[in-house]
Amino acid sequence: MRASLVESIGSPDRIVEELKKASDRVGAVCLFIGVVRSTSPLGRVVRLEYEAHEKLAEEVLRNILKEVCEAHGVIDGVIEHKVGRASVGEPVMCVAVASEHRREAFRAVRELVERVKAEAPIWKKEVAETGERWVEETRREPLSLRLRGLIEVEVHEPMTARELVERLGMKPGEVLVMRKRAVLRWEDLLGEGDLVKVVPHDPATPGE
Amino acid sequence: MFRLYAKFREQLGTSRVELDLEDGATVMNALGELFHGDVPKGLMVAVNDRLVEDVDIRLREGDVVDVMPPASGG
Repeated sequence: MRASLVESIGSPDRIVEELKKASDRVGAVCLFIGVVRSTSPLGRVVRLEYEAHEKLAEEVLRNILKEVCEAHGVIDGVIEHKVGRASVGEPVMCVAVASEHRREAFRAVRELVERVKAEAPIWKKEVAETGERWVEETRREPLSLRLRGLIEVEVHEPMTARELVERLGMKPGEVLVMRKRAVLRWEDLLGEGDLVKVVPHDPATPGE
Repeated sequence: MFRLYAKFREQLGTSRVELDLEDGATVMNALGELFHGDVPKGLMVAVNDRLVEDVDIRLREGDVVDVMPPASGG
């Protein structure tokens, strides 16, 4: 597993070869590359400028990679993220995983991309022909209410317990997810048709 | 010492700030002073290179606090 900040994203071929070498069980390599687009609310983009807390960012990227690979049962993974200036069309992020089958690879890559964008201390400034701005990701604000009773949820597509809670607009620390009376870990995978309960949780309350 | 990143560095016009805090001051107290009471939502804080979620922890003499905007990489 490798997660790093780089001045330029490595070639996809090299990354695919690196992942294929992880094991002869590899049957799928799934790779996402983010590139600089020319459009922005400011108008035509000239470049992006990436800044990071380099020590923390690499640590966060490594932790995300480890957690997601374990959660989805993929064999190996790579994250590369650009720092510095990037021109339109330039690759700025590569997330890739190797797994036995395609499904877990797709799921893992999707979660990795979302978590890298939301959690790693990396920031981008858009420099356009008409001005510049620090980009702010649009995220759902946490709910300004608290779950008082349990809710029952039927899952219609595979996702982790963490994804379920976040899609409901809640934070993992505020609730627990239970399946057949067992409290799930946030990385536990829910399958299509699973029935789960989301219950309020106060970490300060003993015994919960 | 407080280190500021990206948008915060530009807003406050400096990358490093020393604050004169009272004994027992918390991270939140410091952020309030740094942003004149208007602490931005969603910021990230690290104390001595460790991310912290609890802004009520007390700071100690010599702590290095990183004050970072919400992530926007990718």
